[in-house]
This record gives sequence, C-alpha cells and structure tokens, in this order.
Amino acid sequence: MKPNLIFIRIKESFSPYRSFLQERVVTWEAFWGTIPLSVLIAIIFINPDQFNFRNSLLWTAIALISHASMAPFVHYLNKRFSGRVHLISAFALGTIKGSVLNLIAPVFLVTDPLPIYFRALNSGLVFLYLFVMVSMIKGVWGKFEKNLRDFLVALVSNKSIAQLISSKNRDQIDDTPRQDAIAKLGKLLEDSLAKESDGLTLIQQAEAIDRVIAKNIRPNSSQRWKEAELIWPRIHPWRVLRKSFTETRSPFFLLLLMITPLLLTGRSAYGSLFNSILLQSISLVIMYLLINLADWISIRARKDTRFNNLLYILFYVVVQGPIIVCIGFVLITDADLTITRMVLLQIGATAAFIGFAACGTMVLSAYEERDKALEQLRSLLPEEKLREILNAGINSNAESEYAQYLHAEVQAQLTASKLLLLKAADSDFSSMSTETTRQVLERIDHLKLPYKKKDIRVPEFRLNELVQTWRGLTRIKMDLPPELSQTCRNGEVISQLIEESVINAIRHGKAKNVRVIVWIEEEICHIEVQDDGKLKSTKKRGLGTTFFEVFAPDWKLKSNENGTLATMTTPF
Amino acid sequence: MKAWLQHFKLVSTGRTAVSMPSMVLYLPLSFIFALEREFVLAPNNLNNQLKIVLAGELTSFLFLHISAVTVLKNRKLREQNLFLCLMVWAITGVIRGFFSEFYASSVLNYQSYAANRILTSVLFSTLGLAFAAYSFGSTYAIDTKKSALRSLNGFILSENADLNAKQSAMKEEAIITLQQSLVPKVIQLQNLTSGLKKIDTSDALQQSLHSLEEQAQHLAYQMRVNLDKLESIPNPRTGVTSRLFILSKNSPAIWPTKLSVKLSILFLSIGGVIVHIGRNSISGLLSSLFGSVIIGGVLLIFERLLQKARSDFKQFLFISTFVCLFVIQYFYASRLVPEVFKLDQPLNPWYSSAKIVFAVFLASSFLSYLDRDTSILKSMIDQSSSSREVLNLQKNRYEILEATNTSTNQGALQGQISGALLSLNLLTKDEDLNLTRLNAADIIDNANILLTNAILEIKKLSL
Repeated sequence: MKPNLIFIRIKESFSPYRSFLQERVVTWEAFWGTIPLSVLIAIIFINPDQFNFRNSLLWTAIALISHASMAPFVHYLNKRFSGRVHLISAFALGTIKGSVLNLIAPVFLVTDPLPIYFRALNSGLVFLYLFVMVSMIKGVWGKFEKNLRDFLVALVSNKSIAQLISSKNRDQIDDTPRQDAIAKLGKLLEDSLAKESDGLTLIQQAEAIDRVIAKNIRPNSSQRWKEAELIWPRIHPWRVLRKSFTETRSPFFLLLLMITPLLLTGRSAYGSLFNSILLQSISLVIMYLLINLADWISIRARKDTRFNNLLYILFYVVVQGPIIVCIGFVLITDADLTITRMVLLQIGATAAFIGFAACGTMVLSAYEERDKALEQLRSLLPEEKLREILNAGINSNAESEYAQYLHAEVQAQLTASKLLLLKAADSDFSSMSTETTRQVLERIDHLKLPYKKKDIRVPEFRLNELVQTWRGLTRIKMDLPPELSQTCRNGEVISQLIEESVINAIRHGKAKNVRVIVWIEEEICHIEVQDDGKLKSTKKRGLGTTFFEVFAPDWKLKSNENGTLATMTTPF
Repeated sequence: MKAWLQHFKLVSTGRTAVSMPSMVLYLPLSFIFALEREFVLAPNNLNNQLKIVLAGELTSFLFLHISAVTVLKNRKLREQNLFLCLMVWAITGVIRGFFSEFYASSVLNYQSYAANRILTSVLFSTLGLAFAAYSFGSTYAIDTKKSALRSLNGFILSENADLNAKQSAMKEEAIITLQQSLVPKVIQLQNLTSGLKKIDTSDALQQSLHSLEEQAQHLAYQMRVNLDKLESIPNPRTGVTSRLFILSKNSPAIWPTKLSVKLSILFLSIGGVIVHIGRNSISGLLSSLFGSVIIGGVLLIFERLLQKARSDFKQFLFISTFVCLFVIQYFYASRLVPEVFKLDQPLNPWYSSAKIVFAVFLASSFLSYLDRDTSILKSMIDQSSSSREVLNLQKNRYEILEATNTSTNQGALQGQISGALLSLNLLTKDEDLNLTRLNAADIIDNANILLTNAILEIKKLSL
C-alpha cells in the first residue's frame, strides 16, 4: 500500500473521533471529571511505593493540589477562544499541573522520581489526552441534542423540511403510538409557547420546544428507542458500553497508535529515549500481529464481534504485557525500577489502555448509530402537523404586544448606541473611556435586530409614538414644551434620554404609570420622569447609564413617596 | 511627560492591567530572566534551577490571578487607581522573589540570597507587567476605537441606504406633482393672460395685463428650471463600504517596519540593570549602561539610514541592523567588558548578543505594530468623519426635497397659483358679474401679487 493511501486510511479512521470532539476541550466538566484520574495517576504511576498507605495519601493530596493549579486557566478559557487554542492550552495546563506536582512533592517530604521538565512534558501529554477524551464523551452525549435542536430550529425557521425528513422509516411505524405522540407533542408545544413566549426570541422558542421534548417526549418514548435498538447514551450509559463492546469491533491498533506519544514519554522516564522508542515499536509490532491473529481466529471460528474484542484484550494482557515487561527489564537501566514495580506499572498501563480502548470503541459505536436515533425522531413527527403547530405559535407570538415592546426596546437601544458612538467619534474618543466604548459595542453585538432609524424628527411626535408603543402595559403622560413640537438641534438626544428613562422605569422599576415633564430654560432642556415603580439599583452598568452619563452627566435617580423620580438636564 | 503619563494611566489601568494575554507575554521573559539569575545563585543543576524559577513564577501567577478577581475585578468596567496597579505589579515581584528564595533555601537547601532575588524580581515584575499592560492596553484601545468606527459605519450605511431610498421616492413624487399638477395650471395661466390681452381695455389695464403675462411666463420658466433641476438629481447610490471597515483583524505581521531607538535603549538599560545588579553589583550595572549607550548610538545611525533608504532596500537594512548589533554586542561583551569592567559573573557573549538583538526586535516590533494600527485608525477616523458629513449633506437635500413636495402639494405655491387662476377666471368666464374697470384692475393686481409670491416661493425651493 502506498504511504499516502495509508495516511488517508488513518485519517479516515480518526474521523469518528474528530466528529465528536467539541470545539472547546478545556471546560469545567473536563476539570472536575479528570480529578479521579489525576489522583489515580499520581498514586499508581508517580508514587514510588504504592504499598505504603501513608505515601498514597500524600500523593493523593499532591495530586489534588496540583490539579487545582489548573483552575485559574480553566476559569479563563472556559467557553472562550478557538479549538486550536484549547488544544494547546490543554497541553499547557497539563505541564503546569506536572510542574506544580513536582514542586510541591518535597514540601510533603516525598520526591517525584522524574525531573521537572520531564514531569511537565508527561503531564502535558496526559492532560491533552484526558481533556480530549472528556470532550469526545461529552460530544457523544450532546450530539443528539444538538442535531435535534438544529432539526427543530430549521422547522421553526420555516426552512424546507423535505430535506430534513426522510420517508424511509415512515411506513414501518405503527400509527397509533405515533398519533398519540403527535397529539401529546402538539399540546406540549402549545403550552410551551403560551407559557414561555414572554421575552424569548424565535430561536429561544425553538430551544424551549427542544426542552419540552427533552423533558416530556423523550423519556416517554424510551421504550420505542429501546425497541428500535438505538444507542442512546443518556438513557443507559452502561448498556451503550456493553452494546459497543458486543457489536462494534474495537479499533484496537488505531487506539494503540493514538496513545503512542503518551506511552513513549512514560517509558522514557525510566530509560533512554532510544530504548523507549525500541520498546514501543516492539509493542506495536507484536500487537499488530496479535490483532491479525485474533481476526483470523474469529473468522475461522465464525465467532461474533464480542469474541473478537475479547481476544484483543486477552492477547494484549496475556501475550503482549509479559513480553514487554521482559524486554523492558533487559533494556531499562534505572536502578530504582525493580521487577515488582515494573510489573505494577505494566498492569497500570494495561488497565489505563483498556479503559481508553473502551471509550474509543464507545465513541465509534455511537458514531455509527447516531443517525438512526435522529431518523427515528424525524419519522415520528409528521412535518405538516408540526409545522402547523409551530406556525400557529410563532404567528400568535409575532402579533403579540410583547414582540412590539421588544422591538421598540431593541430599536431604542440601537439608537442610543448609535448616538453614543457618534459622540465618541466626534470627540475623537475622549468623551468615553475605552471600557465604556467596549461595553456599547458588546451591547450592539447582543442586539440581533437590524437598526432602523426613526423617521420622526420632531421630538413631540416621536415621544407620542413611544406613548402608543407601551399602551396596554404602562400609562405614559407627556408634558412637553412647545419647543419640542418642531425639529431642534439636540432633538434626537432629548427624545432618546426620555425614551431611556421611560423604558428603564418599565423594565427595571415595573412601573405602571409614568409622567414625563420637560421644560426649556436658557437653552437647557430639563427632564423629569416620575414613575410609580420601585427604584432598583443594579450593580451592572447598562447602556442607559452610559447614555445618561455621556449626554446628561447630572442625571439623578431617587425614590420619593410617588415612586421613583429621574431628573436630568441636557443642552437644547 | 505629563501627557504620556496620563496616556499610560488611561491605557494600562483598564482590563489589561492584569490580563491573561499580558501575563502570557510577561511570563516567558520573566522566566528567562529568573533562570539567568539562578544560573549564578544555584549553579550546576538545571532541574533545581527550573524548580526554583517555577516556584516563583507559578505562585506569582496565582497572585496575579487572585488580584484580577479581587482588588482589580472592576478593571473591565472602569480605569483603576494607578497606585493600586503599581502595588499589584510590585507585590507580584515580591511574591515571585520570595517563593523562589523559599524553595531554594528551605526546600532545596541552597544558600540564601533573599535580598538579591526579591529586589530583582520586584524590579522586573513591576516594569515588565507595566510594559505588558501598556502594550496590550494600547492595542486594545486602538482595536476598540476601530470596532466603534466599524459599528458606527454600519449605522451610517444603514441610514444612508434608508435615506437614499426615500430620496428617490421623494424626487419621483416631486416631479410627478410638478408635471401633473402645477405645470398644467401655469400653462392655463399663460393662456388666460394671453386671452385677456386681446380684450379691448384701457392702457393702464393693458399694462397690468402685460405685466401679468410676463409674470406667468416667468413662473413657467422658473417651474421648468425647477423641474430640470429635479430631473437632473442623480439617484443616490448606496455607499460602498471601504476595505478599512471590512477588515476586522489586525495585521499579524511581527517583522518591524520601524526601528525603535528610545524604547530599545529603555529595555536594554532596565534589563541590563536588573540582571547585573544581582550578578556583578555596581561594575556590572555600569557595564550594562555603557553597553546600552553604544547600542543606542548604533541604532540612531541605522534609524537615520532607514529613514533615507528606498523601500525595497529597507528589509535588507533591517537585517543588517540586527546582524550589526549582534556583532557589536559580541565584541563588547567578549573583549571590552572583561578588560574594562572585570566582572565576577560576566554573561556569555553569544547569549548577551542574542538577548540584545531580541530586545531591540521586540521594541521595534511593538512600535511598528502600534504605528501601523494608529495609521489605520487615523484613516478610519477620516473616512468616518467624511461619511458623516456626506450623510448630513444628504439629510439637508432630503429636507429641501421634502419642503418642495409639501409646498407643491398642499403648500403656499399650490394656493398662490390656484388663487391667480381663480381671479383670472372671474374676469373671463363669469359673465353674470358686472365687473368695473377698477375691479378688473384690482383683480389683475391681486393675481400679479399672487404670481410674484409664487415665483419667490418657487425660487426659495430651488434645489
């Protein structure tokens, strides 16, 4: 076989694992999930005397402290940065953990047998593997939910669902339970839309539907999933593992190749690099031959996948293990490495690899079966009915007053952002600090609606429109001077200040009645907004606060017997 | 100097006062400096040297992280107190030095050099972290301004497109109103005045009628002019976004385009002082300062040469500068320093030369990056302000069009022409009315006044 073909085949073999690999591997789940492994590695592989209970306890403490050293970085990297940064960081975090372990061991009156740079490298590789593994397992768990969400979001967005729904399995399903499921789903969807539509965007609504399905439909349908012999890790992880082992041929050699860098550095700790490479190469050759032998035996004996996988493990433990220990004993010159310790290390490495292989096989199994699960759901939901229900929900919501309020508020915020940026640019960025500018930009990023400039330039008309917009939710009374009944130089800012005050009173103070009094004195516009809501002080500075500080720096907010009073002045 | 300090405070005490990127820039350099120190203080065992350095680096990093989430937690909201930031940076150095010392003397049982370790750490950490905060803060500030201008440009484009669409519609409407509503009336007016002239009347009345005819012609002419102007207004095009506003990422080039003399001298002097004060006391300090002066002189010469050089020759000159610096520093460290200063712990000449070149490269790279970004920002500011001006002009034009439409549809112009027409119709059609000559003269005069006002109005609406 040509080298490039081998490369392509190896690359293809990796694709199931890549498909489950999450974008970000350094997560809190990975951090917490790897603590037991961190402790086990310290006790089995680093602790020179595993039979001493006191030592094991000391190494447990060292492992926990060194593991904690990764926490600040996880805190910083969690849900941020690209996948590549995360992969590099996973390695870097491991090196830090290894360094800390090596450094604090003498404080506990024990010594790490490896030099610090070697421990750092070794730990870096271990944690790169562990974080990637946790990420893939998370991927197996989360992939179906993601697909399901995409499926529903596509439906809600009125995309053509012909391409999403295959009619392949439709005829095979008994209609009665399907109709039940549809009826139930319909009710749940309607309830969900009625209950949860407040304050949600359409996409969030789709996710709400997703939650409804996750909470109600899926558990009730678990029998169907079982009958359909679907792999569903969330429901029966142990069953998935067992099923994977019995039905999916383990990619044993590929997994051995994957773990080679880690084994290589592990072996280098007790001998020269050359010896380690030699030992690892011998191990790979032996395993390659044994795997072929196992396959041949299975085919000749007409045995199933389970038998095949069992043979792999048997050969790995009984044949490869002892051979490697013997060769290692000859090659490795480390005086501290007794035969007992060597055997123990080999047992630990074997157990770790079998665990790794189990996870790898499970990922492969889930990869092969994952589409079946989604297909089942798709066939369970006839498109016309679902679309009808969803459309009804969306239309009713789109017409609701809430959508109008939301739109008005978003547009008001966009206008405020624009005015702030204009002010910043006009003043050569001296009117606003870098952090304030960044906050305005972040706010713009959060507002997904496109900006639409208000046509009305006369403040009075614009403010009357504001009164109309919030009608039904809050009664707003405007007492405006005649100067605001025509266009004026600072009219947009004045209107915006009043709008911001009113929206704040409604949103944060839950005001039901708002009264706005404006008067002009010596080219200064005085604004008073009295509402019957509560004065709610938030620690977080919002866009409104920034807007007031930039355009009406003397603004005040205080509570009085009628509720809350906002006062401010700005040039007319 | 005061302005620079203010700028330093502004950019360094925000979110980058303590941040992961600034720490990532600072830590490797701090690691190398500390390792260099430990080569002298804990010699002959790389593993132990690494341990001593890492003990300091990791604990100081932990302190920085704790500071970031406690005393400096509001740095993302507003600028922090400069003194507080300086304290955090300095205490980081204290912790770094203290834990290195603790590990070396208490855990690894080396001789204690507490003062040396702590003093050099404090100096390096304070200055290093301040520089990291300043460099990242500067780029962050520029980046924020660029993002703000990009967002503003989005708003302007949106308003511009909106205004363009409305302006086109308004223009169409104005043309249709003029053509369908006013022009026929003006023609009717001209016909009426011509008809009245044929009636036998007194000289005075004939003169009034002549004047009325002239006014009608003038009005017709003015109407035509306005119509032509309206038709000649090109339909506005939606603005094309400049590439400056589309590119969102900074150029990743790290190769310098400018040689930084001042910053390089600052780096070399401070770096040299920190390293040598721990190794060779006063003579070491003097040797490093003297070396910085020599390198500064060489840099000045090359800076001048680079200013005058052709652009295609600049790359070569840059490489020559670095090679030259390396050679001069090697010569200085290997020949002059042992002869003149007789240091106890001199640096390896190869290492010393590489370090000097790296410091100059770092300073120049930073300055070039800042320079490049600042010039991009300046262009963006210019373009943004001109697009805002264009938008304002367009708004003004739109307002004129809107006024034209209002006036032609239901405003004074429509009324004045209709009034004049009505008056003249009285003279020609209503035979039941017994109009005296005086009455006729009054009516014609009134029609004349109305037409004069109409002409004034239409001139006022000239685009």
